[in-house]
Amino acid sequence: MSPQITIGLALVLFFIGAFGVLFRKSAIFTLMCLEIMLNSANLALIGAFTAWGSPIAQAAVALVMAVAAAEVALGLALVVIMARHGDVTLDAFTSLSGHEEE
Amino acid sequence: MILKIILFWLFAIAALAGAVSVVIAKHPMRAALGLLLNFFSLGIIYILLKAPFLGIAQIIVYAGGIVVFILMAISLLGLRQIPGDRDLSARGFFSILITLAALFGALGVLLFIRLPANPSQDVGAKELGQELLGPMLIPFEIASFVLLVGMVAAVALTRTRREK
Amino acid sequence: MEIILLITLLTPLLGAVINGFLGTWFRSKAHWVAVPALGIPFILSCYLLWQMMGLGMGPQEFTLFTWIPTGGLNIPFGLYLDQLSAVMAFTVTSVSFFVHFYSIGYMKGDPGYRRFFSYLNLFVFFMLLLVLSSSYLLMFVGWEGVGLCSYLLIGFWYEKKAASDAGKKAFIVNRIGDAGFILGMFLLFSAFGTLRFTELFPMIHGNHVPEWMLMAAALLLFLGAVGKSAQFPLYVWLPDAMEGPTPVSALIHAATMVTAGVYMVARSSALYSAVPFAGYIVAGIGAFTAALAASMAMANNDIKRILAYSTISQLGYMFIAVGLGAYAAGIFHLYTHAFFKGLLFLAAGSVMHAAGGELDIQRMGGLARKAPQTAALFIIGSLALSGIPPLAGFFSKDEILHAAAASGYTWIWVLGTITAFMTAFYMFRAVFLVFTGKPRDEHIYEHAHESGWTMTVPMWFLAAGAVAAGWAGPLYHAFIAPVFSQAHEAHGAEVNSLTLIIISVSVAVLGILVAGFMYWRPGFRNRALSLILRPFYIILYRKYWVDEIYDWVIVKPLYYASLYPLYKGIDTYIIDKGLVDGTGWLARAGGRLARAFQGGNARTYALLMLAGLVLIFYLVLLK
Repeated sequence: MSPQITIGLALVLFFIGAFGVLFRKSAIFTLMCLEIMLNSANLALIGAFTAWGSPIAQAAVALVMAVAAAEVALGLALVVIMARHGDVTLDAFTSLSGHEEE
Repeated sequence: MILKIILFWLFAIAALAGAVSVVIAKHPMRAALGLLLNFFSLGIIYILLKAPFLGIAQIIVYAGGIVVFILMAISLLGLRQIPGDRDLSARGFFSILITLAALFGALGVLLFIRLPANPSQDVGAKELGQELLGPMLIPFEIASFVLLVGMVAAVALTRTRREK
Repeated sequence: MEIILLITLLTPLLGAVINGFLGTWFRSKAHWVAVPALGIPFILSCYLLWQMMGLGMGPQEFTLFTWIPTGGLNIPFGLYLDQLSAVMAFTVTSVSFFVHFYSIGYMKGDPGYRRFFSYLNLFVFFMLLLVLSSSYLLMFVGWEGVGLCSYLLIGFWYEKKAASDAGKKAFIVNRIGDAGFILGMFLLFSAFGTLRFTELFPMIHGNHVPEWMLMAAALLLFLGAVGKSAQFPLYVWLPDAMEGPTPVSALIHAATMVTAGVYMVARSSALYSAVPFAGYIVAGIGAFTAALAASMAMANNDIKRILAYSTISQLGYMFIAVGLGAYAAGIFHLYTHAFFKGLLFLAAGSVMHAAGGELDIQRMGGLARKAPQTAALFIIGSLALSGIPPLAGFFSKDEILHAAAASGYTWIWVLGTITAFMTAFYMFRAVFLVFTGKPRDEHIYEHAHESGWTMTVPMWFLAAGAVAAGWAGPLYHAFIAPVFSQAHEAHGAEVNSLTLIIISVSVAVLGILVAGFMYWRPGFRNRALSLILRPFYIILYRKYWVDEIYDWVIVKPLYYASLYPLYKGIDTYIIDKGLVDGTGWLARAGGRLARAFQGGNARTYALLMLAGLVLIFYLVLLK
């Protein structure tokens, strides 16, 4: 349970999430993988806490949780919009213009 | 102590398994359950690592809140398995390579860093609260503002306009 | 006093702005703005002149504000009023006023009516700025401003190729002179650290500044004058400038702007007196130009170009005077010349008006019967220009010739006297061809008519000036003397004034007689004499091929140097094909490359981010 191990675990989780983002096409999976990545970042912060023992690391985790909550709310809103368009894969949305294209 | 170590590895493996199942699951509902496993395991790990308040918060917020949120979205939108969701093209293969390269790179970097091991006390709600409302007050307020903006944005994005 | 001066200066500007920006409200009523905008400065400059002359007010300098405040360079925006600038302001505003008045009739119905008045007012503003400024730099602002207005007004009928070409020619040729002016200013500034007249001139005498520097400054400033006042070798723009409307020719290219160079030299009298040799060059170029231009005027058939060459020649006279240190005489000639040459141009405009826009004097004839007033006015102007006493030109020209003779440079006097003969000849050649004899073109004669009162009345006023301006001589000299108290006239010979007067008047009369002999009613036809004179006539008619020489020596080489190595070579291949097309190609290639990454696909972006991360990790590891 040395910090090294904790952070290594965080790294493995992070790259599993990153791979998921690259590997899956539908937006809901992307969102979930992003959550995994965020959590791995939190875990890394906790690892840093075990290394230096500063409670600031934990406060930072609390803040990341808050921001992640906001991110999920927004991400799900986007998924809802995509579902209204009839396609929830990210590859179908390559333009920011907001107009229907092609 | 040994129990703690065993628990740590147990939940670490559970977290990894959850994460992997999220990535490879065919149906979004299963992925969400994998995510739940991941979050829950992480919460336990937090508690083991002397962050009991965060561990509880992790379980409540993530496992209890966000996962439910995602599950709700899935069932509300009727999301189901999409053929070809998993990118099995050359590009998907390339992403595996790149991800592994990045992972080994990162682990390599980690090996070269010597981290101190500082035995410290549990950080409970009281210490965390003092930290958040003391030196971290401004980030804390900004985070709350971001939450507000996210809420408003989510409402604005999903609002259906009525044509007159 | 400061207020009056400011009003004098700014009213024309106001008129120009009103007509320029709000002129569409007035349309054909633009003169209701423009003429009062000139009338007020005219009255005020009369008042200023009276203040100085009658009440003995001394020179005054008004600093309105600091225009350019920097460390070593402090240029105040200041006005300077002394006897010289008062005389100049009076000359400028009076002639301008009459010309504006005349333009009401002359420009009637022109589509650019308000534009014309706007430019003309702007011109007067800049001209007043030029003569009233208290430093070389501000004078240069006016100098460039009148150049701009000149360009705008020569090219006033810009649809006509000849007019816009003439405008460009005037602008470009003037640029050469202006470059000299600027360099001269720089030199003076580096030597004395100031450009203000009141600070600069007292420093010239008994100063440690080396003489070559003063000499160079004087000659460079004179180069500016050569351009602006159309002296050899930069005179070529003035005859072409006659493409502009006739009132413009009268005001800008006869009475006021072209005399700016003379004014500038007179204003710098302290400088030119300090280096007499520079003055000698000024006088020499003046004398040479006077004779050259007068000879070219003898064979020209375009009534306005005759007057243009005459103007160049008269400006040469003025430079003779100022070059030899007879500044008062030069400015006096400037002042009388403004009246009679302004009158001649207006009368020429009236002739054109009568002849339906015809300029060729060979196709006119007998117009005196159709337009008697114009004829009378033109003849008055011609007599004044020829120097027949007691008209204005006689007094001023006689003073200049006297100064030339007294200077000891006999050749200048000889050239001046020959010029006087030629002047009388070409003017009366024009008079006889236009107004007497049988009409050579029935069509033109049939339609000829006298001009309206808005045109004749101002001409009569100018004619009064042309007759009487010279009588103010003694008064003028007493008045202006303090300005040139430091200057000393070149003096090398004792001369008898009366003899000189008799000689100059008799050559003028002789010129008139010869002209009458050759062009009076039946016309002079002598085969032998014609044969002898023919080569000379052709040389003069072709204007010594000066334009062609310039074309071959300067314009063509520049043109071909630009065309082949620069345009076809560097421009086409290196700049167009290389730089311009290359830039486009680079952008397109870059775009093609970037498009591969910027497909708008979020997952691609994520992949690239991760690839970047890998790169960073391995860079850290390898280090």
